[in-house]
Amino acid sequence: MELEEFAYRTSHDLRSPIVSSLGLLDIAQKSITDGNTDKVKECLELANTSLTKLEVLIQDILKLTEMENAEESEQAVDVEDLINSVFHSMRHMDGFEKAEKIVSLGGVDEVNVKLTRFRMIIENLVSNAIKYQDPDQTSPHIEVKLKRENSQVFVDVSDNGLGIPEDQQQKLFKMFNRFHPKVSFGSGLGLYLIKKSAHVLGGDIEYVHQPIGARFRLTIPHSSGDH
Amino acid sequence: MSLLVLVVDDNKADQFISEHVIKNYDATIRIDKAYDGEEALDMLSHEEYVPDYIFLDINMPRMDGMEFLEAYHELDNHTSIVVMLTSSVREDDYNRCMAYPYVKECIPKPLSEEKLTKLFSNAAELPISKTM
Repeated sequence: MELEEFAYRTSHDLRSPIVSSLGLLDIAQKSITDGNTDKVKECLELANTSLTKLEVLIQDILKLTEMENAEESEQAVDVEDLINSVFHSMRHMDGFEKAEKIVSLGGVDEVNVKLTRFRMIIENLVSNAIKYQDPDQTSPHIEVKLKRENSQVFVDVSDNGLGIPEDQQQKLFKMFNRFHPKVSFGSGLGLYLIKKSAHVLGGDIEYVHQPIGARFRLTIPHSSGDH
Repeated sequence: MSLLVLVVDDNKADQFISEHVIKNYDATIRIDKAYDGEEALDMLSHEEYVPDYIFLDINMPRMDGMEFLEAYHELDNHTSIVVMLTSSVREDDYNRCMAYPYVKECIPKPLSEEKLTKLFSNAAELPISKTM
């Protein structure tokens, strides 16, 4: 993405929650005078949501800048431990309990990776799977499945949630794209960040179309670890 | 019949502000909401659905304001007055929007009673006057 485009989108996305909040505070102030406390409450809740959105965006921009600069060396990572720890860190998210968690290691116990990036990718994919569940689905699930093929390891994170409409899939890894804004708010940077991280791991991430739900496939090079 | 305004915005806070300001201005104005361009287009593809005004945000998921205008252009009926309502707009986007004859104004967010009064009094071709 061109720097100019990035600057425009960032400043727009930083500005709009502030502009909304100012508008809301203005309404809240007038509603106090009118004695309409319900309206004041509603305004404050919406302002809270707007500012939280802003906070998420700023965090993600910081992550992006940190990532550009961070040097990290590879280390042997116990995959099962890592996945469990990611699940554990998300146990307070809405919808976490409801979803069945399926993990299949496919004989891959250990990977040699830059841990921070690898973890960030898994975290991002798992939290998306939790957030974007299909409310009509009676038995939601999240599956993390590993497979080794020759010199590559595939990590598939899939679910039976809302998925991504086919005509939107080409926009997926671009900056500032949101696909389910009514369900949950994000900065629109998450998938862009993990694409970059996958490249730093010497691999790639892609979306695999399936009839129900979403499937993301992370491909990383398999190295034995003895270098 | 009172005015009908379709507000197209993915942002709940901005939807709330627009609704509040419009209702405060004139409680009889009817408001419909669409959360992106595609939803708005679906509504507008019904022949009998013709809002007097469409308040249109630019940055939206699925189908944004610019894409919406392109698709809206393909429809047969353009009697609705389109008003861009956005927190920032680039010059080339502004020019592209204003090139459509039914796009009358570009108002910076947040909508306020002042801006709305100005808009409605500017629109000499107001479909149905507020005072009627």
